[in-house]
Formats: sequence, structure tokens, C-alpha cells
Amino acid sequence: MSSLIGENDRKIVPRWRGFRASVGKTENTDPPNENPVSASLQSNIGDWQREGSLWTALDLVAGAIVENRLDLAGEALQHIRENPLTPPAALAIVVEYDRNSAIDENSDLPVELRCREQIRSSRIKLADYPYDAIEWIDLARSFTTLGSLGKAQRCVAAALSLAPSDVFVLRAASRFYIQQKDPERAQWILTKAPRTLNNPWLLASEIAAASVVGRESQLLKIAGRIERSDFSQEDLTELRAALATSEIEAGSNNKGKKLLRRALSGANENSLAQIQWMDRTRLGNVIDISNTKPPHGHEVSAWRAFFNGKWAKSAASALLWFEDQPFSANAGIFCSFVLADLAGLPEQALDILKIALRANVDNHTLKNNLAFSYIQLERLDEAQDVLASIPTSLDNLDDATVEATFGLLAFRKGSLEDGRAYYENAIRRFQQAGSHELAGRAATYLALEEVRARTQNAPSAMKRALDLTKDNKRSDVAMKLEELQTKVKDWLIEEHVIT
Amino acid sequence: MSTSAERLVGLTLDGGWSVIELLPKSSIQTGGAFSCSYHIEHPDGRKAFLKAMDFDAALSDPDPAGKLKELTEAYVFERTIVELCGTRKLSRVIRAHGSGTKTPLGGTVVQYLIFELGEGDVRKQLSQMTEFNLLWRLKCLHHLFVAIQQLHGSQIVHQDVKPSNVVGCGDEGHKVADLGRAWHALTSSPFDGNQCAGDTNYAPPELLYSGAILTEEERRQGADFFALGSMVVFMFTGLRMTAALMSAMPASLRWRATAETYANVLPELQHAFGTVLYQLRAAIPNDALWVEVKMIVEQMCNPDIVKRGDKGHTAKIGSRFGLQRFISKLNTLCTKAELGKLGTV
Repeated sequence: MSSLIGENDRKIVPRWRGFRASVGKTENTDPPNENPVSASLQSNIGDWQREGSLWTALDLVAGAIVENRLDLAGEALQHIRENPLTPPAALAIVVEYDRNSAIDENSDLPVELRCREQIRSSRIKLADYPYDAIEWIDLARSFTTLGSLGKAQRCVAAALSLAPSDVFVLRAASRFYIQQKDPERAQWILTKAPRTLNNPWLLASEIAAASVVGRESQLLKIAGRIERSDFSQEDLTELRAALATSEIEAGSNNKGKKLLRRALSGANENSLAQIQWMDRTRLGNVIDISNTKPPHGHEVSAWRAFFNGKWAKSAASALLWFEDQPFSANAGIFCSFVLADLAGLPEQALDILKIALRANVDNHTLKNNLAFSYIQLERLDEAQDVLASIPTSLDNLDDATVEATFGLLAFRKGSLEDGRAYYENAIRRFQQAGSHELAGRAATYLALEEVRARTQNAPSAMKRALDLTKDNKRSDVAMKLEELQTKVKDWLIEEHVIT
Repeated sequence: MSTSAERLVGLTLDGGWSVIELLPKSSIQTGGAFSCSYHIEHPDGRKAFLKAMDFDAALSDPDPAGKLKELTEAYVFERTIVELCGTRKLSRVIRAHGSGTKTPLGGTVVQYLIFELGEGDVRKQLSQMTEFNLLWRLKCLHHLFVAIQQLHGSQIVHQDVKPSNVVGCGDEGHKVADLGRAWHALTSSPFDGNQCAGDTNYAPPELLYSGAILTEEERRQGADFFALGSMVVFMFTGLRMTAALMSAMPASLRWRATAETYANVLPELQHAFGTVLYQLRAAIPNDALWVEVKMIVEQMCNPDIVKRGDKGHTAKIGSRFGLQRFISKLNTLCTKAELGKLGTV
């Protein structure tokens, strides 16, 4: 049985993107054409109009770049683009300006190639200039994605020593330590940075890190004050979502609801995902988020499509979510679950899992989903190896999920008795842990296998599956039950019981 | 209607100079709206450049009295500085031939300064070249660095080093012009209180972004240092360092788009600086040249003012803004280029 994490818990930990992608998403609040024109730029324009030479064109374009008024240098720009004598470096600088002026940057490269390219380019840059904390963080991100966690850690340490107060560096470092299962350190680097006390982005990260540690942040009061200060809505959205999570976890649903509603204005994709999750799991769908559509809301879209039973859409959004956060276990788990189990694309799930497991090498749920995908592809020996590599000293629910997958493997190998025993054990453990939803799903999977194998236990397994899932309205469970009914119908047609 | 300063053509000035031609306003003149430039000629055949202060234009300023005071002070300051440079025989600074006043018919008194006439600024000279001449560029930089060193040695900080103020003077090589925005330790200027006295489009980031806490030396010599390094970047890329830095900054953190302080954007500026060095590296395929150019640019243009300068120099004279080591480097590079040891760029 494949599993889905993120259903029961979500913290608003910072997203970790490349630097350009992180800051590029902020719209320029001061439109370039409203900037006043300096006397210097005016004289550059005059020189260009009078002389029309390459070097006056370069001077004008440079002045226009500094003043964010490239709109005034259109002809000069064209001239330097077309003149064969233009120094290539000048063209590279203009291209860089355009890239940094774009709201977003797209890359068609697959995750692994993109990371390798980033590593190559970062290494060249850092060899010449090692004092660039942001480049160290970008390098750390690529190393993390590719599973070179020791190298990533050294990069993060270098960045923190160079820029211990930078928002981008601190949030990325905090995210890295959470990824490394060291949330105490993630919180500590934020708590000790003086800038955290008056920066909503850092406060939001600190509260999230504290909640991952499992304790209440000491900065909640300060955060409450900042939340009501005159920062922009966009700057406050993650802080409000973090505070709301904290309030709701402490039982103050009303306060939390108000904060979530405030977080909705200016929401980014991370805060919106948090709002959606809190609303669905804790408040009972009372907040309308349908009108909020921040860029790159892949996680939100993936979950929304999931609950609406639109598997192809959910899979497409999940893939984008994973490409955005390829080191994230949650993104990898969700994406592989939807691809392998619901969208019927286990091969694509394998590709995702191979990357996700690099940064999360010991993640049992990812391994479980890998084994599940192998089973779907009839690669049973590989599935066996993966399942055997998962230690059994897990908490009940994870262990039970793995046990169910062992059951699936046994069924596919033809060991029906073993398979049944694994499933029965898993169902019992889910029930003992009070997770009736997972018990129902395991029972459904067992029934599917019984029907698939045409055993005499099929009718009773099916009846139990229906019993255990009767209160479950989730679309994925409904889909599995539908699949069960279809298989039963096929069987009955095959047996000429019905026509 | 033309102002008095615009009506000097045909007149004869003190010393016999004849005013030949009014030049179009250009970036040669800082604050060009309040001055006019002419070509002038002496009966002995010498040609020169005349800068006439346009006090009439100041009257159309919203604050005419304030503008007149500023212009007068600026004129007096520049005259004092160019005379000082003449007295100290600073060979790499454009020479002043004199100053005076002239009243055109029906006009008001125009104060002027007469300078030696160059062949044009480096942009004009580069425009006339069809091939990359490394030796020419290195020599130009060497002369410029020597010029600024001469000024610093006279307690003058130029504060407005840019391509349009670097003038070719034939066999004499290159000289630096326009001391109108300079700072002198012993003479007050109307621009002394400005955060950025020179052209902001060439200014270092600590003078663009708010909140930088700077010593007087960092604000003055530090800016000259940055501008010199920027000229090195200009020679290889065609663009100034300030533009290269801003192009590598995310749009939301560029100088004109953010209220963030210098300290807060410094890591992003360092990232931009790393990108610029990467672009510059691509422009300089010769490794030996790159090592030296990188050292110069890294120490002269570092966006972090604390890291800017020559640390070795600090030990010798207590200031990290000494130029001697860079001048020696450029001199060596010129020799190597002459011997063909730096290849072609």
C-alpha cells in the first residue's frame, strides 16, 4: 500500500528555492517607468542622440540599467545588440538584467541535470569569489537535492559565516537543518540572529522551526506585535499563517481562523497551502481560498485536484511542486503516491522517488512508495529488496503501512496466505492505533488483491472493505472502491454469473 | 532666448583667446544645465576648452538665490582646485590656462575657466577603434590611476571618475578632467554635504543604498577607488561596475526599487559582484591578465566598503586606499602587453 504524508501534519517551513527564483517572484513595487530621470542619464541620452556611436550607446544603456529606466534606451540597446564590435561581456550583462527583471525563470532541464549545471556554475563562481553567501546557499541546495548532504552542510555553514543576518540565507539554512532532521539548529540560527526580532519572514520561520521541534516559540509575543505592524500584506502572510497554526494547535480556533483570514490577503503559495491545510483539517472548510491564486501554487493545486478526484491534474501539479522542491520528502511522497497509485503512472513515480530518496535516504515512506511502484511494474525482486531495507523499528502506522506493502508483494508473488497475513496484521495495527481511515484503505487493497487473485475470500474481504470505509468520503478511497467494484464486475462477467 | 553664457561666440577673452564654437551640452559637464562649453583659440594657434558658468539659467531655477549661491561657490571651488593642480604641476590632470569674466553685449557677467583641449574622451576614442587594443586600454588605465594618485597626494578626491572625464591628450596620453565635484581637505565645496557628490550612475553601492555608516575617507577615497575599478570593468566590458552590479541584482532589490538598507542588501550585492566577476572572466581569456585584473577589480570595487582597498597599504601609511600597488600592477601589465605576453583579448 502506498502512503500519503502531509495529511496529518503541516508546518509552514520556508520554501527553499534558488536565489533568483526566490526573489524574482516579488513584483517590483516601483514600476521602472515612474523613476525620475537624472541629469546624468539625460546627458547620456543627449550624447547618444548626437553621436550615435557604440560607446555612447553603451554609456546610455548602463545609465538606464542603474536607474531602472531601460525603456529610455531602446534604440541604444538595439544598437549594441546588433553592432559586431560590442564587447560580448556587455551583452551578457544586458541579458543578466533581463533575466533578473523577469518575474520568474523557467528551466526545461530535468531536476538532476539542473542541479549538476548549478553545481558546475556555482563552483566556477565561488573559485573566483568565495565571499558570496548566496551562491553557497544555491550550491547547498543542489547538493542537498542530489543527496550530498555533507557537502551541503559545509556550504550552508560557509554562507552563515559570511551573511549571518541575511533573510534569504537564514531561511534557506533553517530549511536545510529541518531537512537534516535537526530542527533545534534550524530554530537556534534564527533565534540568535538579531534581525529575526523585527523581520516577519524570519519570525515565521522561527515559529515553524520551534513547532517542528515540538515546542512553543519564545518569540510569539514579538511576532504578534509585528503581525499588526505596517509591513506589507505580502511580508506578513507567512507570519500570520505560522501564528494561526500555533493558535489552533493550542486550541484557540477563533483566533487562528482570524489570523488565517488575514494571511489570505497577500498570500504566497506556501501560506496558501498552509491556510488550505489548516482549514481542511482543523476548521472544517470555513475559509474560501478560491479567489486567491498566487504564482506557483502547485502544492495547493495538487491537493485541491486530489480532493476533487482529478488525478491527472493532481499529478501534473504535484510534479511541478516536486520540481520546485525536489529535496522535500513531502513533495516526493505526495507526487509518487498520486502517480503510482491513482494516476496509473508508476514509472514516472520511480523517477521522482529516485531523486527524492537522495535527499531523504532513510525516509521509510518514500521507500515504501518505491516498493509499491516496483510492484505495480511487476519488478518484484527490486520491491523485495527495497522493503527489506526498511528497518522495522518504526512507529506503528508507518510500520503497518510497510507491512501492507509486504502483503501486496506476497500476493503478487503468489503467496496468498502470506499476503493475507501481512494485510490482516496491518489492518489490526491501524485499528489499534485508532486510524480507521488507514485500516479501511488497507482492507480495500486486500480486497482488490483477493479479487485479482480470484480467491474465495474475495466476497468477505470486499464486504469488510466496504464496512471499514463507509464513513470515508475521500476521493482516493472512493476511487479504489470503484476500482474494486469494476474488478468484481469483470470477474462475474468472466464467470458468466452476469452478462 | 539664449543666456549670456550662450552668447560668447566671436568674443575675445583675456589673454587674447577667441571664442570659436559653442559645444552641445553633454555628459562632459557635470550639472551641464548651468554651464556652457566652447572651443576657443589663441592667436598663437593653441586651442583650448572654455567652461562658462551660466548664471542666467540659474535664475529660472525654483530657488534662484540658492542656485546662484551654489553656482558661485562651485565656480570658485573649481577655480581654486584647478589652480592648485597647476601649482602642484599634476601632469595627469587637465591643465587650466586661466580664468576670467566676460560680458556679452546686452548680457550679464559670465565667469569662465579655460582648460587645455584634449582629443576627446575615451568613449570617443574607443568609437574610432575597430579592433581591441589591449595595450592602449591598459595605458589609459595606468594614466588614469596615476592621475587620481596625484590628486589624492594633493588631498584632492575627484569623486566623479567616469569615461567622459578621461580625456586623450595626444602624445601625453590620458588625463583626468572635471574637478567640479571634487573634494579638497582644505577648501569647502557646495557639494561637501552630499551623500554622493559625483554622478550617482557611477557611484558605489554604499552611496546609493541608504543607511551606510561611513568614515570620511570611505565616503571620498572609497568612492574614487570604486570608480577606478569601474573603469577597469568598463575597458573590458564597455559597461560601468554600477550598471553591472544593478543588472545582476534582482529587480526588487535594485537601488531604485527598494528601501532596504545597504547593510541588508550587502549579501545580495556580493552575489551580484560574484556574477560580474564571472562575466568579466569570460571577457578575459588570458589567465595571467585575468589574475591581475581580478585582483584589481576585487579590491577596488568590492561592494563591501570594509573589504575595499589595499590591505598591504594600510600597514605602510595607515590608509587602505593607496593606489601605488595597483599602478605598479598596471605598469607591469603594460610592459607585458607590449612584449605580447598577454595574448589577445
